[in-house]
Amino acid sequence: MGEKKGVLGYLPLLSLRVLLRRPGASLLLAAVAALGVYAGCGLHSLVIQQQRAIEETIQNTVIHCTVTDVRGMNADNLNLLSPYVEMLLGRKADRDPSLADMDQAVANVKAKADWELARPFGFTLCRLLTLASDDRLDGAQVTFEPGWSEENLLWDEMVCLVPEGMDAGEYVEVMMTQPEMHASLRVVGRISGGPEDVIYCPFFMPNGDGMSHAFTIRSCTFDIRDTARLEECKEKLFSTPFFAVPSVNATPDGFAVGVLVHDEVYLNSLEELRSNLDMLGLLQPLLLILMGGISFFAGYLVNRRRKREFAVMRCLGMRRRAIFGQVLGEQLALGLAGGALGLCAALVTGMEIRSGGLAFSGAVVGMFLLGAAVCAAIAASGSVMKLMKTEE
Amino acid sequence: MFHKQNARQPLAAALLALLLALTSAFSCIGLSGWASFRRQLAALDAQYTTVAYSMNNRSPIAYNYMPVEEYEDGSQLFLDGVIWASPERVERLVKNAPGVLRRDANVLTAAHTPNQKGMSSGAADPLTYAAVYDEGRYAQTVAAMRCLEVVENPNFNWAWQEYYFFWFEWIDPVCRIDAYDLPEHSTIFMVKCNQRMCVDEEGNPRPPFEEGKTYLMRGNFVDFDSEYWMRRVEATEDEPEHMENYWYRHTQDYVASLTGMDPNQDPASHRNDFPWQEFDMFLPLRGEDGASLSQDSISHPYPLTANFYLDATELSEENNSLGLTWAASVPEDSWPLFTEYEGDWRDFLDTEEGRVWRDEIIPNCELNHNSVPVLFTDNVQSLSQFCQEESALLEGRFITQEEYDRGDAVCMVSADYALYNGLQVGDTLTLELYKPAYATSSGYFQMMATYTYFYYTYCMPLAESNRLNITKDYTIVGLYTAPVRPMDPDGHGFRGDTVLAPKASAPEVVNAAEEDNVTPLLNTLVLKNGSIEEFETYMAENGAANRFRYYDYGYSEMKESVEAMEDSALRLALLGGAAFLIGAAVFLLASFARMSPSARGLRLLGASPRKVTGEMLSALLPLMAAGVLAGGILGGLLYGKVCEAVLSQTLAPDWPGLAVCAALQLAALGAVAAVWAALTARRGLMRRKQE
Repeated sequence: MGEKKGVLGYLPLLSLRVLLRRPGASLLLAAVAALGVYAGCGLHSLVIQQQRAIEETIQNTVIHCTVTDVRGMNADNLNLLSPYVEMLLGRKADRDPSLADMDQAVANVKAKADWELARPFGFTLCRLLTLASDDRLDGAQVTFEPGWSEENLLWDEMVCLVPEGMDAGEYVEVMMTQPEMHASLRVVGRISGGPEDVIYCPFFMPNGDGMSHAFTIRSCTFDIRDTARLEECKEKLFSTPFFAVPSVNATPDGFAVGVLVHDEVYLNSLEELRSNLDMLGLLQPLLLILMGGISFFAGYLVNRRRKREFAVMRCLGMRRRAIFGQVLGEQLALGLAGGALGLCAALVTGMEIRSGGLAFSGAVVGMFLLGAAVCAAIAASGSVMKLMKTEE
Repeated sequence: MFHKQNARQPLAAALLALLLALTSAFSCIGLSGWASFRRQLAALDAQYTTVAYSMNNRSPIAYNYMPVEEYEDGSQLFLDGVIWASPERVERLVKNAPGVLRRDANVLTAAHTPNQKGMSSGAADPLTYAAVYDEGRYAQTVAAMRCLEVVENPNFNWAWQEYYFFWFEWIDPVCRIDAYDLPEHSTIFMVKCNQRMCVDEEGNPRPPFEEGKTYLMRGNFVDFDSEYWMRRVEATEDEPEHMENYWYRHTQDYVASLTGMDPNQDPASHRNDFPWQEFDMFLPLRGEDGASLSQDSISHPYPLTANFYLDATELSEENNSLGLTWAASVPEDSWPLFTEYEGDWRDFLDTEEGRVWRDEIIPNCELNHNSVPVLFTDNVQSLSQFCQEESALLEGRFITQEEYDRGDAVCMVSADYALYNGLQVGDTLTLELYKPAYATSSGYFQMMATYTYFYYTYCMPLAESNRLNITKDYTIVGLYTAPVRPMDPDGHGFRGDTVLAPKASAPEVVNAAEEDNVTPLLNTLVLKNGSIEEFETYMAENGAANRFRYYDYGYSEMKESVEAMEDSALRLALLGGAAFLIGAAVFLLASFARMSPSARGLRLLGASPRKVTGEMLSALLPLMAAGVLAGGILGGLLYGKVCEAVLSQTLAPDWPGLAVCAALQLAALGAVAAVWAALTARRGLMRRKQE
């Protein structure tokens, strides 16, 4: 027993000496393991990186939609009734159940209507949903009174934004003849760098009689609420009888309007990006098999040279299991050292290492060990005399 | 010797070759991945077009903001130190700016469409009529009219006021586009002509028309103006009462309803308030040197088309009391602009004097009505209207890059045009092509109290002298939507009557086109994707900030993914290379470890180092060749099969590339093996003993 313990205790030292005595082969095997692990981490990291980039792209991409007639025309010359804008804002669920939660499908609805004012003379009253609805406000500065914001334009308060240079107090009296309207609007903000003759008010502001009248607008655009849910949002939009996919052959029924979804470039690009990701995903197992093969043969070929050495060990009284253990131990040491080196290299080069990458790396080291084990098993199981003779 | 060793130890030899094959396959897959990623990146890049459009090309001069210095190239320095770069300077800067891929010079021309109706601006909806869009071709009209009154203009100013006002009574439209056949018409017309026709060669005023006489006239018919306003719509079962946007035509009845006066009774009274229907006989002037003397709205010389210009004779200083500088007349070899007739115009057409009207002028007028503008381009999606999503693909598809490159006879027409003519995707559109000739006109729309000003490029009339004698059948591949009223302030807009076709499909037209750097519609600056910032910074540093607007179809949003792909491609290639290096090292180490003892034996037997080296290499090379070849094929097949099964065909392996890669690998491996073999063969024979 004591002798056995001595031999076993001597094995790690022997292994180390063996490795050091053959630095080239040892380094090479470690390098194979390191490369395998690095490749595994790298591929996995690429997949993660690509996935994240696609997610960010989807998140950042805005899909614009243009309201047209059902034939896809007249986008700049619509006679779109203001209730359609309310539908897009999700406020008309009472009219048709399919309109419920429409605001979950669309966002940034842009619509405006200009009405010429008889008073203040020379001014135009512009009904506005958002400041972005009017190109004339590009680059303009809007200063809201405390407690007021752009959000208020979405509702029906009797308020307005006036040009910076306009001589207006707390309220502005506006009057127009067609349609008849006379109202006193509270000034809640001032615009500098915008048009000097336009007063802006909330899109749904009632006329002076306190009643909300429908009116028409020339053009309307909006965005898809969540690009990640593009299909779902489109389905929601087109599930209502009020919005349709435009077609030249469609027959106008005075009811439905067309919506052009500008998503061709986005969808084509996404397809390219996803196919790229799929390819990376498919390369992973393919490269694992190849890397495993390389590791296996590298381990096998390097250890195959040591048949005589194993035979001598056997002659010196070492048991097959001990030889097998020693070879495996050596390879394990090299594999782990190489693997650790590969991991370090992956970390240093900024790769993201997650469980998938580690599993891939583990598989590579495993294949590497398998190759060495097969070789060791063959070497340890061979006839000592034959081995000695062959080598001589 | 070493061949025998391989033959005696086939397993070892096979394993070595297999190791090399796997290594090579790994690197080939890495390379294929890299190549495919590059292709994917290129495909992705091709999805996007980053374009820059010039804008703000007008000097910011105002009565209280005047330049203090003007440079040679037209740039101006203002008192506050601001420099306004002239279009010439901007043009020069663009040539050296970073990120500029090319200038897409589109070619605009007109074509006769034998089997289709021309779609003037008010053809589908009279209320969408705008004179500026119909200039040149659709508005060409031959009319029979009687001169009612020739009035001297008390406010004459040679720069912007005519010397005479001509009031005509409308008799008949002899030839006019059907779209203008509307119920409401003036009975009294204002006729406009080049005022230099109104002086004789001595510079004395001489009206070309006489009151009471009847004339056949050719020119542009200008319909009533329209105005965007609102009207109340009564409630119906389907809709509540609401206000509706409405384009009002300024017909005489409408004017009468607004003013309470009948404009026919006093034509001059509302001349400035409400533009009338007009008959515009304006033609550009040709100078004595044959050059065009007239300029369009962007100071570009009007093209001179035979039968559509006047000859100018310079007035001497003493004869130039009116300040008109030239007297104009219809060239002798040109069609008449107007001809006096008596009786019925139909009878006049049957006379010898009327022959030119009957056989040439009227048929040409009809030809112009059934025509389309054709914009030959290398990229429809780089046109401003598409970039701004004012135009979009409605049905079919865009023209592909291959079709642009091959110059296929394919085209895109607007949905309005297709509907107007009963065309569909897949139908054929016959185009009789003409030489490019165009001018830029300025227009405006009144919407409520707001006037929107814009520029519009239109084609000059089709004329026999411009005919190219080329007729081509274009297949419609896509229908696009276009704004009813394109109002690009910088002149990049086109109407829905425009046919879009690949430039290479009509080289004759392109060759006949003059290089033009002025008309914005025809020029698109294409930038490298992702280079907007760099380009604008360069322009700003050189005093031309904010002179371009940019569109990239959302490439900036896609940038992260593209960068990730580029990174992936590089890493894959590096991984493949590293794998090959390590695998090759294992292969060589194991191979030479096998051969070393035998090599030493050979040397001990007296073989020269060169012979031993040669023998070692001759045994190794077939193994290496077999391994690398097998690896290349294995890698390519594995990659190809996987891609084919799961991905698009565009990711198929690049076999020629793989062959080159395998050859390079073999060459590198052979070179290293040769050095290694030489070193092994020359190793000292005593060394082993000493050890």
